[in-house]
Amino acid sequence: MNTPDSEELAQLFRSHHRRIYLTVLRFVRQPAIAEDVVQEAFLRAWKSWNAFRGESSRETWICGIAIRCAWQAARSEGKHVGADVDELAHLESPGRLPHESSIDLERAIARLPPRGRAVFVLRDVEGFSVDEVAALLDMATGTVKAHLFQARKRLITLIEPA
Amino acid sequence: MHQHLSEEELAELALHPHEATSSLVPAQIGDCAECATLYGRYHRLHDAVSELPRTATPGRDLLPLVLRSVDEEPATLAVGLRPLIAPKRPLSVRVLAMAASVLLAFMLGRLSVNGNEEPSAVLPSSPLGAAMDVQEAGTKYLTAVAVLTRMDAPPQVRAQGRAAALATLYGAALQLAHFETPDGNLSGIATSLGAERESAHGPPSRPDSFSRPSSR
Repeated sequence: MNTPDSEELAQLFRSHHRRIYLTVLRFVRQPAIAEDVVQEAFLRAWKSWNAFRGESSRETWICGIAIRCAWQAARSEGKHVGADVDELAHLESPGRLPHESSIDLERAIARLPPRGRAVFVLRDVEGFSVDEVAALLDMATGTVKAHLFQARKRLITLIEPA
Repeated sequence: MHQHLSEEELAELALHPHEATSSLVPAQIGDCAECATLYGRYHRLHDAVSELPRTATPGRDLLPLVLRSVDEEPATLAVGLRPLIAPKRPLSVRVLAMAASVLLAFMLGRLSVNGNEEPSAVLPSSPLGAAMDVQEAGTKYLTAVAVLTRMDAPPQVRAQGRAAALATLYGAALQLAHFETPDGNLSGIATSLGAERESAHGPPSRPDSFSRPSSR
């Protein structure tokens, strides 16, 4: 498999970068950092093009690279950077304005602790399996489940106080 | 009498109904008011998740930046690079591979304890890339020093490894001392490391920076 030329890479970027950007933004919460991560992820994907084994779609593969970059960035930035939750209110929703409840949920997700946020976004928003989340974040499956449970429990309280 | 589902099971069922393994479960929920209430709360979370946007547009046009980074990459990087997270191998294999790499590097003269050669570094594409490179290289550095410390290496190899490790620390301390504002503590550390190197190998040929071209 040859490394893609510029046009092929550009096509891939145009098709997938918006979804990958949003996933990364939910991880790192800062648009400028999310943009750096997306740029770095596509560069790394291009550099390791031959490592793609075809076990998933190319989008999922690049998304995995971006998630690992984002996770590194989120862990290093998490202690120093507050949530830029208002930025999340400007997210696109194809064909319609963001629903009020989705903005509330975005804000609630942004307020989760980094690990809880990461596992919730990957498992419940992006639909990865628990095993896949564990592999992407280099965590034990039990750890993923524990953080996921806490995150979900906190979210139902945040968006709908009992 | 039915068995209660745990909150974790209820949440999983509500958020990923298509993954449910048994059709009996919804019936069980219906039989218990407490379970039904909790299930309802997680189901509303599921509904809110399904309303979330799926895409967002970055504030900057990133494509030209990506293409420029690709163009600036050395051609040798275009083939056969390691994956971002390498598959884990048994410790003994990793230790042996690392020791072999260190020895091979010395044999090829790539680790210059006198600092006469420029490091064959590839510049990272962005500050974030640089930070990630530091993190990855730091892990490798610590592991390699640990291997040199623990393994029964010939004295000459140990001495060379120690000198190389000191040289790297010295260079890193010099760079960090000027990271944002001049840092007196790090300057002191660099001075101590420089003195340690000097006592073992004589004056360093490039006392102030690894990356500065040699004037000789």
